[in-house]
Amino acid sequence: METVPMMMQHAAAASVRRRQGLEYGRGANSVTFGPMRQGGSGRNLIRATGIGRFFGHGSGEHSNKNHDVDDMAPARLFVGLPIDSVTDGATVNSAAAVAAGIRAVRLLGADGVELPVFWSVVQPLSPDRFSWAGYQAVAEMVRAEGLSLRVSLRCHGSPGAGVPTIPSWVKGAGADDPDIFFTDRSGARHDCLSFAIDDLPVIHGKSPLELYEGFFRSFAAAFDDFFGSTITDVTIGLGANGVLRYPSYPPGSDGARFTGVGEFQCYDKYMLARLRHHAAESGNAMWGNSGPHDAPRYHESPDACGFFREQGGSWETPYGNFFLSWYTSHLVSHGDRVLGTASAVFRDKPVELSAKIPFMHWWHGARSRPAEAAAGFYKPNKKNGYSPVAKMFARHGCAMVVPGMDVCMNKQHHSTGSSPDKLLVQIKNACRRYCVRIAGENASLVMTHTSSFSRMRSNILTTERMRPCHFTYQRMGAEFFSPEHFPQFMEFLRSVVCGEWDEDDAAGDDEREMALSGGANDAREARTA
Amino acid sequence: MSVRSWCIPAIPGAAPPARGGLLGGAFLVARPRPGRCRATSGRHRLGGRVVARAGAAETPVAGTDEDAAAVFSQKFPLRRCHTVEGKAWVRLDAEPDGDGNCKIVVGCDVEGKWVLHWGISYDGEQGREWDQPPSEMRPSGSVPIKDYAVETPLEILPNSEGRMLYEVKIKFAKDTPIAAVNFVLKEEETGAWFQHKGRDFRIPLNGSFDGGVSSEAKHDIGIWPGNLGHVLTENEGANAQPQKNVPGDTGLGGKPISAFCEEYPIVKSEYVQNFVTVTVRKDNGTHKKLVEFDTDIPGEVIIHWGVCKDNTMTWEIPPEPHPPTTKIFRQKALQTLLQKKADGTGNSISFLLGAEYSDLFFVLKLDEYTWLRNLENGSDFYIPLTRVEQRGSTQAEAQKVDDKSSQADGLISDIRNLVVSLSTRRGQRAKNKVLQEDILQEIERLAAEAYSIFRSPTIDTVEESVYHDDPPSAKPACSGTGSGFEILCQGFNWESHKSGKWYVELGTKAMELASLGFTIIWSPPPTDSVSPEGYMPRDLYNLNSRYGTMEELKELVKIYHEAGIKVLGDAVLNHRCAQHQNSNGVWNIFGGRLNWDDRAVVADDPHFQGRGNKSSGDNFHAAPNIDHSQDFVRNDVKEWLCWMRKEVGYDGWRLDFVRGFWGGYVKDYLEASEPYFAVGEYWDSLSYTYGEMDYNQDAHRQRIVDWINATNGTAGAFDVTTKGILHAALERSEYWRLSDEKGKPPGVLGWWPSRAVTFIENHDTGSTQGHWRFPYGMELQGYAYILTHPGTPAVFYDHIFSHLQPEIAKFISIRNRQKIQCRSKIKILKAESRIYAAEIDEKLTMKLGPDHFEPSGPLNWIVAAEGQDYKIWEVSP
Repeated sequence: METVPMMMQHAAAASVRRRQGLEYGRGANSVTFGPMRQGGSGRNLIRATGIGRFFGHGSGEHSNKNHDVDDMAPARLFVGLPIDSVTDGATVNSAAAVAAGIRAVRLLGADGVELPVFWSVVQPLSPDRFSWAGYQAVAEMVRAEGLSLRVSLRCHGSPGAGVPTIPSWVKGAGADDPDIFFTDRSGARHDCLSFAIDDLPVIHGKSPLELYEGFFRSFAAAFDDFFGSTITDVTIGLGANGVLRYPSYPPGSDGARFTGVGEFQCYDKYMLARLRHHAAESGNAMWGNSGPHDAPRYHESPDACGFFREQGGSWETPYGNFFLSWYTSHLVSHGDRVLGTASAVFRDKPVELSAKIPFMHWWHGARSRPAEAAAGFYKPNKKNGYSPVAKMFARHGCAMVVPGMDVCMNKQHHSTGSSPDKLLVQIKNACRRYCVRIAGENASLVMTHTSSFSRMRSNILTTERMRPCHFTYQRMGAEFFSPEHFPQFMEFLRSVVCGEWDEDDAAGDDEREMALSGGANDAREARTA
Repeated sequence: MSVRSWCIPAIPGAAPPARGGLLGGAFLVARPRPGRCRATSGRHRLGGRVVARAGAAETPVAGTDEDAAAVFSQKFPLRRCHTVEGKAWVRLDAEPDGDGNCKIVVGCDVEGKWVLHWGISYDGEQGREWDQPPSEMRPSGSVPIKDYAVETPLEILPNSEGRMLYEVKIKFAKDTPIAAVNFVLKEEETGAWFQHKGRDFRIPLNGSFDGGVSSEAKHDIGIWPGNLGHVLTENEGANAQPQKNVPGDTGLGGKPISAFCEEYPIVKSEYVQNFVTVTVRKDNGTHKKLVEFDTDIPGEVIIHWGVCKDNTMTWEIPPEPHPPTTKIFRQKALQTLLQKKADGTGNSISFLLGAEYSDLFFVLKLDEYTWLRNLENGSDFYIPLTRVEQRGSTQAEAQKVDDKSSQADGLISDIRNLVVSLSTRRGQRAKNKVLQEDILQEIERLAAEAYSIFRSPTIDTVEESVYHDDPPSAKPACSGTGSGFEILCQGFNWESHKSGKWYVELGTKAMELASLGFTIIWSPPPTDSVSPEGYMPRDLYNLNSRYGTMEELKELVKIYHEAGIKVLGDAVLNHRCAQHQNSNGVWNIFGGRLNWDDRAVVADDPHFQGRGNKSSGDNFHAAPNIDHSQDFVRNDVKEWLCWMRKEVGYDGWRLDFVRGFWGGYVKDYLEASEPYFAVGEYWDSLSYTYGEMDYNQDAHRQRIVDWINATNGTAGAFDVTTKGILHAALERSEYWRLSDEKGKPPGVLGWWPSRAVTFIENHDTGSTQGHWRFPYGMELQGYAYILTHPGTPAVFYDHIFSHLQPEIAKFISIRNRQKIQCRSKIKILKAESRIYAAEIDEKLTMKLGPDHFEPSGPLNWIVAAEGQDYKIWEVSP
């Protein structure tokens, strides 16, 4: 009988559901038609409760402060606020829309919102002054709605997002010494501080690490009374656009949309010095003269040049291993340094730390994984390139934000060797091994392929051990609220908030709707009686 | 086989099926939580219809009739809600009778066992606590309830039309110390309460006789139900408890106490027992089954039904032909209208069904909101169509259960418990569902609001709309921008109220202003106000203010209309001062014709304890901020604006403090009142860094443009950005500020000139307040700028009637002569530290700043005006 396996599946998840069942009871009891005192208007109740609470998925109740991998807790749901919510430090752009968005999110039953906080916005003009008023105003809005807030601290923005990439005074320092920025083989520079200068006092007499720490500390001080109650998560930006990676995309472009192989970014003089030093130490001083000479250009195929060639490419040679190991270790140690600083700052705050890694599914099918290698994810002997990063995250009790929960195989071009499923498994394996929790984001607004919603849903509601501890849907804006997107998003979010029936049940939606609304009729009957 | 986790087939949504717009219907699907999923699928797994049979076992199910051909016949009881409409009345006879007693009469004409639950209060102000009435007041038959109320049954009075009337009379001495009588009506049999808008009735006695306080007393109606709330909630089984609705809302009181009589429509509903009988027979000729439905419910009855094959529980609709008067509902079910029985005792229908169907499910639908289900288990009616097969499966399943060992009994009782808990949950879910719809609507509204703001033009697209999509010829009727050639005069300053005759004084200036070239005058806020200047309005329908009487105002408007000048009224919509305190002593109860209560006040200003929604904008903290999201508020505001348009003759509005509420509401108001011209005051701070004004004020003007956008362009806005930038540019000789990075004017006027109302001073920034005064001595530079540039310029009263007048008049005449208008094209020729020069419409060139400038080109420029640091040229004709 076919129902037997179903039964077993249910039994497997029984403990989760029992727990939720209890919550359900509580949630439902808390929603009653208030005494007449309330004026009988539904609006008051709306104010007090969101849909999520009806189903016992009350916001903020899940904030789980222990750092064990807690597979059983449902993923907390966040919705990202606009990147340019604050651009001048003092005012909230389209504040009414942001407020409305926050309120809508609460009513939809999500747990909170995510706010990207940019270094360039809060410290725009000098290293001495921070202006937090704008972001504080947003946090205040979130607090007023009783939602959780996940703050993403970003030291580097991305071009074209409406927010400066780095503070102008840092840029000014770069005018004197352009080598503080990542540089590619042809000498083009990014608006992103090289990992090699983390400890060097090259910006107004301070090292980037000190500046990052100042940014973190100032944030922690300015938002002191939001911790615990409103701010539940802090995501540390470890690189360009808040992602731990080399900016292997073309300088001046928005890395989020680049799906080429990319180039190594090791050509600023500080990186080259380190490479030279490392080469000398390893006894092959010649290897330290420059980066690989046969690496492809940004948009070239990996097979275009020798380095990443599928068969017999340089990457498999001792030189390739030498270079890639050094390149990736540099990324990991940069992450380690910044996360160490951050975890010291936030150690006594009741927040969960997380940091974002890239989700570079393109060319994941190639043996050399060239795109990931160029961004700094590599491990020799075909081992899991995400392991060193996961190990480093584990050291700081930091969750790994995987921003590709929506990526479906069927959306990708086969020619780019994309393999999102394998990549996700690989990341999860690395995290499982080191007991690092994962968290999710979507790579982009789901505008066309609604199958991405079901993909996200199954990634969030999965019963496997590596269930994300939180998921953030990115992000609010005009498109987000457009009639083409918002209704589908609502349905997605509610299906996640309210829990989901088994997938094969989805066909019965209409009937379920009718059955339920029949129940509503009963109530209406009684009310109008 | 896919597992159906419920055995309840389709019931169509009472939810509005076509919500349209943002939300697809599918969205309304409420998904039960996994916990329930597991429970119900478990229930199914152990035999789909164990549950149904458990219910059925207690009543005869099959084969109980004498008809041998009948496979099944059962009479199901139904419970239907029946409503009776009627009215209730409250009358107060103030004329003392022979014994010097006055009396209150409360009555109604709906049948029932009516009781007046009442108490009195001595304290006229707070009135929250009830006391028991003194014994001499209590009519016979009164029963004390605790120590705060009595219950008095209503007497039955047969009236002439044969209907029963119920009344109770309460007598009291004319000089009673009692301040008020509070009551609710109660119907004993159903336990329903009849309240006034969810609150107690309150009849003020004391003090009402001296007439003056009666309007205040009226508001005491808005008192919370005091101690009665808990009585209601103690009444268990809320779902089954009928309630009285009080449609319509006529404020109690407000009339002189002497002739007091109010009527209220009431609706009493009661449950009526009905039945439906379903009989299934074999039709010998066709091997089909004949299904008969018979019910005694009068009126339209629809059965909503579907069938299953082979006990699969898979809900489907039989193939055609369907019975007559059948509709297919969403491809899931059939809806068949029953036919009236000949004897008029109800409805019935019979039809044939194919032999392959094993089960039939149905529910009855009476109207859009009324569905009748099986009272046994609260789910759908289930009719087995095949006796034999059904029995067979029963045995098989029963055996299966038996085989399962001794736990079987336990399982069955578990399942029964499950059913019970499911049905209670359904009740909760049903409630939730109703709430959900409200929430969904709210979400929809919020999303639409956010969408409208987020998609508002970025800098580039605004430029597009500025110069292309808004040609003066294709102007919509309700754009609120006038002809495009308007020049506005602010017709008052901060001191104008002092004379008490401002309307008269301003009237005398009409011809002069007209000859200067003004086309619109902005008159001061006209309403009754707590502050003499009029910006703290109280009774919106009282237009007697410190500026003059309503008659004088009408006369003023008439004078200006005769002079060819339109008149704007200053409408203060963001806030309103209350006339009365609530029970906590907070001033949030309004009086006058718009007698709102605290639901009209936004909830997020703690000073005023509003019960409305949160403000859709910023709060003005000195007075209760009006919650424009409330429909009744918006309707009242619209009505008020239309009244002012009609009654006073205003042609448009200057809208005060529009930061305080969402521009979308302004759109509503303007579409309702269709002003010729409207301008909003969206005034917030420009961006400064270390005390120095930033060059780029895009964020500031974006906020103003956002607001205009939210109004859908129905209103313009004061160009605060331009004023601010002019300050910095003139004061510090930084004329480079007058061009933005794209070479356009840096204020709102650079982005959306047709909606920008430029000004350099008003009653707040200048006059005797001087909150943000234009740099002294540079006013003419300011006017040389705004009166030559696109946008609609506004000139401040104090400047017109001062030594500046000749120069301002000259600028206006140049503007009119060259037909410069709000959408004129501007080309900035120079914007450096000591010089700014621009050419407008290739007809006029102007410069500001000390440096020398001469217009060039093929045109023949002649100087039209010249003064300290400004110069204007026009093309010679």
